[in-house]
Amino acid sequence: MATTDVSAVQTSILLDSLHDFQKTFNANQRVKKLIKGWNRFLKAESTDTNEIYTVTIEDLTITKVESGCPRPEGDEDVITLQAAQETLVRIFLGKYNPAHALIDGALAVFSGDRDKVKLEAIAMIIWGL
Amino acid sequence: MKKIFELGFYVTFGAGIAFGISSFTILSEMFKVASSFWVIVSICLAGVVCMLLSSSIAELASMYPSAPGVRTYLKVALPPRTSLFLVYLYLMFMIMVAGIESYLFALVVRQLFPQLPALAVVLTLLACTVIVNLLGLELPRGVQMFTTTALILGVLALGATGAGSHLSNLHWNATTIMAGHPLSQIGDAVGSAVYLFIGFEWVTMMGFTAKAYERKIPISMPLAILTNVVAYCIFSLALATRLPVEAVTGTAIPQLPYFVQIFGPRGSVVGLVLSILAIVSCFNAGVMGGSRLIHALAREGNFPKSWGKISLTTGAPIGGVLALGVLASIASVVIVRFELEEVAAVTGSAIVCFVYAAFMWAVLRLRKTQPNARRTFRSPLPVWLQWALIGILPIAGILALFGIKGKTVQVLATALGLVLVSAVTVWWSTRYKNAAALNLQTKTS
Repeated sequence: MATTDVSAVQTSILLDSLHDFQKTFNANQRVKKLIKGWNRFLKAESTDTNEIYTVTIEDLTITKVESGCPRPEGDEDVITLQAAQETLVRIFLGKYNPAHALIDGALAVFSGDRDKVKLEAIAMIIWGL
Repeated sequence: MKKIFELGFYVTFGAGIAFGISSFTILSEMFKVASSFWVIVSICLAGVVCMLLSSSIAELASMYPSAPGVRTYLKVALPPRTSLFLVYLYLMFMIMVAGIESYLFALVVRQLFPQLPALAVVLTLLACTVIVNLLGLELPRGVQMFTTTALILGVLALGATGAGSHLSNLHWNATTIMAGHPLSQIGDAVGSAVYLFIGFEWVTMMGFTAKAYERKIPISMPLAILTNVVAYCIFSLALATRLPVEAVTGTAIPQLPYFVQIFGPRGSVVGLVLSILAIVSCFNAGVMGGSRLIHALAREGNFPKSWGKISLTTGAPIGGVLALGVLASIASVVIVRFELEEVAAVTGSAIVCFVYAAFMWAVLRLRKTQPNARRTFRSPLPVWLQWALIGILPIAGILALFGIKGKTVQVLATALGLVLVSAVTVWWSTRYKNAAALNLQTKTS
């Protein structure tokens, strides 16, 4: 009897939210002005489900959303966002301002100071948060 | 190699942000209330208190890694108005420090170029810092490490050179040490000495990874404090051995007469170079940190929306930078006009003693309210010691307010004024936030 590879069709609400974010991000023209020359890897790490996804921002667009993180540890181009799955989903769907999440202690961001502000600016432009 | 660089960055960041030009002013203040022996003891005591405190801050940082420390730690643990009140006091302290540091820098510059008006130097320095931050320029980690290392090694080398062969000038013996109420000397000096280490906790926002909060950040804070304890003690010994007490206490920049004593007229240039290093490592990071705090508070709805504005080309928090620049300029004008640098520094030190006590209180409250929250580092201090420090720190802060003889009224008036401004700002923020929420609700409906 043929079996279905469950992992292949398995989905995650975090991954879905990242794909949603990719669409919204790439469709927004104003955000391109902000990220000129800003090529980064957004690593979303869920602290409760242990999922890790990496969003590649390259040449003004999100080119890839992939499972795991292809970059070496300590890579300065990687911005790590660590939070509970629900928090990350709310952030990537534009329902929770990442700056507020950081102040509330619900989100940890490991990156340079400017990258943190840049992320917030992206949220501001895309969702008007 | 990478691990050593990372730890080195944390240590130098913590040590550098605490080591400003105003550190020398505080040393001068301490010589007014204590003899050289008790100045050294007070520096060591304040250092030990800050090291103990750093373990509590490390616990908070492990719970909320990378968060804007002073805002988040107090917000999650204390009642909203209390936490906001303490944050505003801390912010005012930062604004005052910007004013003090720029004024002291102007004093050093004027030793070489006496024709330059102090206010012009102060405002030029502030304008340059604001422009650099508006442009979104960030100091590379390597440069930050280099400037701090050069500053501290410079102070150590110059202090050791000066003190080395003149230690007999100290005349430390049982009679001189025990003269003049030692306990009273320590009481007056310790609260001010805490100022020498303020800012070490800012490293908790800089962790490269979550793992850094398990060991590296907790270790880096006491190491940074220890580095500064050694540097301050050696430099204090150097001041005591090479200059008469009146020469140390008679100026807000005692490092200058010391360098002139060692190098002759060229000593002013050495003083200027060290001041520039201190400005790069302490002032710029402080202004950047202060503007981020204003930005965060504005985004929370506590300040006008325009203060939370971000540049869409550079991503710089231009609203926060401009607001801090304007407030720091006002503070500078007041400090220059009324020569309030000592008063402001001592008042700031007292404020931070209270905020530090609040951090320790936050740790104990969170252990009760969130016992199962993730903590990758737990302070090894026994609870009774934490409670003792929660009591000692505010007392040290209050005693510091009475440390400058002849200026007690000014210091108390400044402290009271700041408390009042903070309380009014909390009241205003609450109303502003409520009005904004109501406005949004009306718009939505």
